[in-house]
Amino acid sequence: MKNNKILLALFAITFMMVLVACGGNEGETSGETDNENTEDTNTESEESNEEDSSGEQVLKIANDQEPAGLDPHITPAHSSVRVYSKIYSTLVRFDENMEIASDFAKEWDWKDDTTLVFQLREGVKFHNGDEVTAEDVIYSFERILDEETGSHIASYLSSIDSMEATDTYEVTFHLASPDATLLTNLTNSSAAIVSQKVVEENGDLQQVAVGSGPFKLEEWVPDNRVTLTKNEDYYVEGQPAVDKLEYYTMVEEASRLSAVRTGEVDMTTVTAQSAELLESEENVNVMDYQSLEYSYVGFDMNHEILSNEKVRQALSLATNREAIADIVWNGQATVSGPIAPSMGDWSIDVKEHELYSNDLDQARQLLEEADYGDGFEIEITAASTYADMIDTAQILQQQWAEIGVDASIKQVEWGEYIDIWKNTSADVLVGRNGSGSDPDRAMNYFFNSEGSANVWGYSDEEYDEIVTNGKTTIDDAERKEIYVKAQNHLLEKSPNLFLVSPKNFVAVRDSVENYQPYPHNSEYIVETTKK
Amino acid sequence: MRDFTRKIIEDKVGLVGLIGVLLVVLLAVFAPIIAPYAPDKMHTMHTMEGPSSQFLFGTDEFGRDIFSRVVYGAQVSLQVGLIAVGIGAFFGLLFGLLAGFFQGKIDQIIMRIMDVFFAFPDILLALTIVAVLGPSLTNTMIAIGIVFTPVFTRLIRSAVLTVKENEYITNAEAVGVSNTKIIVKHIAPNVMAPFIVQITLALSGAILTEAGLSFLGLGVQPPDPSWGVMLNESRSYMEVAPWMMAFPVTAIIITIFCFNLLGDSLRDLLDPKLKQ
Repeated sequence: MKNNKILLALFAITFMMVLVACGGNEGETSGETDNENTEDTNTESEESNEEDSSGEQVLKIANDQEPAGLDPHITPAHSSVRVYSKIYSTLVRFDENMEIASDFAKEWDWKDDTTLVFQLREGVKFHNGDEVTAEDVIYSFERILDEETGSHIASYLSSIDSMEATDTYEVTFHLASPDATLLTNLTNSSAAIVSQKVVEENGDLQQVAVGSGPFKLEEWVPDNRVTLTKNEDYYVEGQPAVDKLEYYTMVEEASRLSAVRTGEVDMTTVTAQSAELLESEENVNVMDYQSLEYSYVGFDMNHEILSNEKVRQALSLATNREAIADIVWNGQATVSGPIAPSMGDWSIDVKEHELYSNDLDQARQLLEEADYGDGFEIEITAASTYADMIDTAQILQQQWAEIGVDASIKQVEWGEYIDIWKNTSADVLVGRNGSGSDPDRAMNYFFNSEGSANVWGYSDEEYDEIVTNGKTTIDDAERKEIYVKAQNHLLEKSPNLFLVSPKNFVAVRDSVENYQPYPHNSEYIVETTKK
Repeated sequence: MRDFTRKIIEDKVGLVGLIGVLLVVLLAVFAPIIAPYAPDKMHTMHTMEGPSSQFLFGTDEFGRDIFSRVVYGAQVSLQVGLIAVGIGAFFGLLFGLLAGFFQGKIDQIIMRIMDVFFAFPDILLALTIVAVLGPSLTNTMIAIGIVFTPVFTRLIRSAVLTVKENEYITNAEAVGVSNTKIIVKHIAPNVMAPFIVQITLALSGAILTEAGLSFLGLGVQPPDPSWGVMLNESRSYMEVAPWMMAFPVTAIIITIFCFNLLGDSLRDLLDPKLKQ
């Protein structure tokens, strides 16, 4: 009897060890598969290196998510953008100083406030050999504006009244009203020029990609990699510098981290915490840039308690944004308003704003005035898929408790989170927004009562007037003044609390040269080379 | 009872299990005294520090004391374990007695429903229920309770079927004792042995399921300390702060192990076939 039990105990222990070992193995095996895959490609590329005496340059990038599809007009996911932005051309682009620069359009000219003429490059070819003409440009934008396409950037081009091909290489845009944001909006990778023939042959462009950009789509192996090859006929002299670009899908931070350490890949994005770990690594450099994103707390403006302006202001005062930057982002974030600080002089210095002072006495007094002197109960919703949102929610809970607000936290899965966001079915929602490349997106798109992303029920005529004015004013200095006013107005009304704008980190192996991430383009690699 | 206690003490493996379980219970009951800090107190000057004399198990990214959180986590685990198993055991006993005693149509209906529940893997069923009810501590307990009901029902039913064949039951029926009385007085006490063993074993299962659900973000909601939640939070800091993961994991392993040892030992003691 006793022996039996000892045997049983031994068996139990062995079983657990086996389990633990299996668990470990699983992780290792998946790592190994990754290894094997890349080793395969390594040997392949080495082989091709031997064949090709000039030495083919292959740049390998680890992607944190599989592309959701490659149609530039209907897929806003970042994992897709980073791939199709290399394949397609846009009329104009941002240079390193975030100034509008020439891309497929050689030059452009405002004939008057509502007429814009683009001169196109001549002799540029799609990857299938067809020439790109004014007709293709018009077709592309008509496809975006067509309601049936369901394009996420349709509203970016909403001011366009009509387009005409005034020459084979000249397009004229007639606008319904002056639009200061149009050129900036045209730099968006989704405003891509596509071929009518290819769209008609395939129905949509989710699985195929024929553009006129620096790289051609060679192969997409689902859940594994996307391979792009150099477009030899690209219209910018000497670009791209590498022959091949390979994107590997590695969802787990840990696998991306080890891939860049071992040299399986040349670059990848990492978190602030991992960035610190990589400091001691000899062959890996970590580069950072201030992102255009900011984190926020959104309020349901129709909520019984939160509809009270004083309550929202009290919560803003009770929020210590620096503590959020320190704890959630490891200190690698800047306090932000509705326009992220990386937008330069479009954004105001929010630290000076009264509601950012973290003055708890004033917060309590405001609650008192709103008749909630004894505090109230509220639920904060955050997405369980993003650790930074859950962390932010926990800090807010602690900070708000100081003024008597009793908050509970609800974490939901990503799909449900999106539904909640769309339907405003949460009292308080923690999230992150991209403030875009023009202040119009940050101010109009998210907070105009007609804005397509204003889910909060924030409706303020005075504010609407300010931001509509901002869109139609052409003069830069005048626009800036308008947006300063809009930002202060928004901070005062606090339909959202704007928290911090994080730094993003890219780990790059030292074999990579001529690479620099920019806030508006973290993967500017057409000039990048490998040692 | 005294005989029983003596036996379990004599049985070394069972004793280890019993002591372990008692320790976890003590930890949970006296958590406010044992833990040096409140579980959600953020020491913002001491974020992600390794184990030290001030913070025995180190701190997490918010500077919360991991030792205190592990101690309070025991409370959550036991609470979920007891209530969830309580729900499962209660309904299991009820349905099992009804199905086993009356048989026929009632038996068919109850057991077919249980079969449907049985067809799903535990964690998948629990996930589905929580997804429908919404994630919270209460709903986690309800979900685990529902998941465990069919196991108890089957066990009790088969025990009832055996007991029912005994002559004293036939006698009782013959002299006109009411059904209710037969079930409560004569059948229920005789199915208690397997029932108690199953409860101990189910407890460890419930604790593990809670940790699993919380790990997936569907169980206990932060900042409440649950070992599963702590594990989930430690995931992104595995390399920088391994202590964030090591201590909750150890707590889970030891607890589950002790409950299982106790359960196994109880089974041997209570099984009439193994009695010498």
